[in-house]
Amino acid sequence: MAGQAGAACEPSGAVALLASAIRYALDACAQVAPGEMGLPTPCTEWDLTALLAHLAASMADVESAIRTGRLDSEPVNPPPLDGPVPEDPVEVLRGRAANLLVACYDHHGPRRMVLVGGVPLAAGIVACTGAVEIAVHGWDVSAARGRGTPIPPGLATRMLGLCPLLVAGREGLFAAPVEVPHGASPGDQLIAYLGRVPILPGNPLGPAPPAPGSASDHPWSEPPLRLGWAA
Amino acid sequence: MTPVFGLCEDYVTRWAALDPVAAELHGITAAFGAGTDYGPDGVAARADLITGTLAALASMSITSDTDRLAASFLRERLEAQLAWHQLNEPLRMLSAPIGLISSVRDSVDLLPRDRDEAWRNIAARLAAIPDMFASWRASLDAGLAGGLPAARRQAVESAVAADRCAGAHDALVAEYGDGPLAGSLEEAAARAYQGYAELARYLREDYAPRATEVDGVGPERYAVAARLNLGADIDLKEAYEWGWAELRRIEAEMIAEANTISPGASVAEASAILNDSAYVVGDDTYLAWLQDRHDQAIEQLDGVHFDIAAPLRSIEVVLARGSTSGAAYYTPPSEDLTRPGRTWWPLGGRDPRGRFQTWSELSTVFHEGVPGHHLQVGAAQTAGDRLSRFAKTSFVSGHGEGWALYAERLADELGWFTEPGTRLGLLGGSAVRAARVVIDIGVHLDLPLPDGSRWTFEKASEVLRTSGRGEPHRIHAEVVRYFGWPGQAISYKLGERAWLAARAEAMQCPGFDLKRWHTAALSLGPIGLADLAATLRALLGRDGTLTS
Repeated sequence: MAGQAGAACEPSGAVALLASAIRYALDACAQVAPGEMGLPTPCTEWDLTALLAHLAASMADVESAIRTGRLDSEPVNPPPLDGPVPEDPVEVLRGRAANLLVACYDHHGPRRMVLVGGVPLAAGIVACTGAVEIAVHGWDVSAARGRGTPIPPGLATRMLGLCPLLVAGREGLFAAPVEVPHGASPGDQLIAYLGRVPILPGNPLGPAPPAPGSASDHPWSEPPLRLGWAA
Repeated sequence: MTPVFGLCEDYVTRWAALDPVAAELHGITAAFGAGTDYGPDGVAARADLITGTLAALASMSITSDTDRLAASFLRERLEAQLAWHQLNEPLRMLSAPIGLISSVRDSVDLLPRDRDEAWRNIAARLAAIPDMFASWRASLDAGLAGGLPAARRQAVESAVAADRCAGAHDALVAEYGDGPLAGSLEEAAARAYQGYAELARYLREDYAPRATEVDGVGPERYAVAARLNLGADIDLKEAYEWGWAELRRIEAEMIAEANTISPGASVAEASAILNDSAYVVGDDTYLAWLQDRHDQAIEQLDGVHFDIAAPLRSIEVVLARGSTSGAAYYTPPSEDLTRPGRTWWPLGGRDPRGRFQTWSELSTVFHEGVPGHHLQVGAAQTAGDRLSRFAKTSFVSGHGEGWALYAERLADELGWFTEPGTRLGLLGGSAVRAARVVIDIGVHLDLPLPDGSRWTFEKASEVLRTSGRGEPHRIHAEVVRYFGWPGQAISYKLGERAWLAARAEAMQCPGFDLKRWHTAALSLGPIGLADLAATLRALLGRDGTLTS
């Protein structure tokens, strides 16, 4: 049973994208100090506590979808993660991220499908959607702390290329894209595309306000990753 | 010094130079080395040292019983390690939450910090972390190229462990203050954090996709791992069946014990009652409670059931704020005893109100401290010329963890679990160790459960939670650990079984005396379980009295 070579399990672009997004988001979350958990975030109804809980729930949803091959239209309440220091939300996130990656690596592949609202979608699409959600919420965390650490250009560029595919048809669920100056970085373009106001030179550092004219209080509407729209 | 003792001395010195990180963890006093080369060249150098030492040992004549014990132990350990090398295990050595990452991190914390030169060493160790991890990645890459992937779960969980190291050395650097090395220390810590971050990226994005999704290591690798951890080749299927029987026995005892907490209460109900009544609040109070219980055990045992050497009559209790495993652990004194023995206590059991359960922790005090690890390891280190330097600085898990579990049982026999619930805590700990036996052997050998089902990560978590009565906050980390560290999890219960069997045999002798037996047991130093009973028998003689 041992020694199954991993050579037949090369990473798909989707899982690699997800892994990069997780790295960026966990980096952002690791900086959060206990005293900052009440800070407001770009998701106006949520403070950092709520945002981290939402991110953990999103990771659990994607993991469940990839593992079981179906995503329920109603978000599931993930079981409590058994791990050390469960009351630390960043620890919970790390655990969920590990489970998500294991599921994605174990169950990805061109023929892997996920039933979303009864409609089959490629698992890679689900993973990419999860990657965008995780990266953007990672940026939200950073912005809430007044940092706005950019999403790395390589990661943002790949996501920008995917966003039309992932977002088309979901306009009612997102804030309207925000205009950014010519020459804005890929990271700023990405978050602006998803309705966030980038922290640009000249903008005061601080939590980015919600985009004007937002169709939703939260630029990435709830429940997360409800993919039925795409069918 | 006899040639055998000289060879042991030489081996430890050379090994410490080749692996300064492990040397630090073992408390070996040696010339400072900034880091360990975990790459293929470093691995080969350590394997060569083993081969050369075994060859030299084979040509030596044995001059006394002490010599025989030293030679036999050195040979057994090195042969076990060589077998591990021959399976190319260093090229797929990837385990979480206890593994190379935690070793590197902990090796920094254990360095002396008493003068500027020591702080320079700390800066050098921190700065060497990226290179150490780069060399490890070279070995892991070589393993992948050779068709020897580690388990994907271990790769991803190791990335989590690396992530947790962000900021892990800040408190140490701050402790130095604003002296002349402050800048160097900060710079070195920043480099270390880059090293952890790059390692996490590599494990998640480069290694994990190429790792195997199979968690079990299979019979060939498991046999070598079990030998390494136990110092014995055992009948694993018999041990698996025994583990299930032991779980059932402990469960029955727990049900009876729960009834003493509240008549008719289930184990879960009794635990809930105790959680609301037997606790301390706050980190400082918890630390003080732990220190008090450690000190009390020493006071009660010394001169009565053991003779405890003066340098061992104190233990430093430390809160392990950076611990990733969720389990308490022990670090030995340094060879020169300038670094004390320490027990480390993670904070994962603290509830949101800042409460620490004491009823479930008392048995672990005896396990990690006295009469457990501290007494056993310390006794070897203060053995003078009776034990080789190799024995003084070695640890055989079955021998050491088995003794520590025996220590918990001894405390029970001595009537030390009189406070409400503390005996239920002892039994709960014992159930976890029995669950480890069935999970570890079952997963790695792919043996069926009693109901015919097969092991998965979820199934193992369920067995640990229900049959093993594992604390919820530790389940995930524990199971990840068993999956990534084959053969270690069985060493507690199977080691305890070996110690109890050896004592039962000795008790048949007319002159049996418990204190004398303990003295003999501790005088052996570390030894493989295969040789434990026979060596004790030879030492005690037919009538149960010490022959030397």
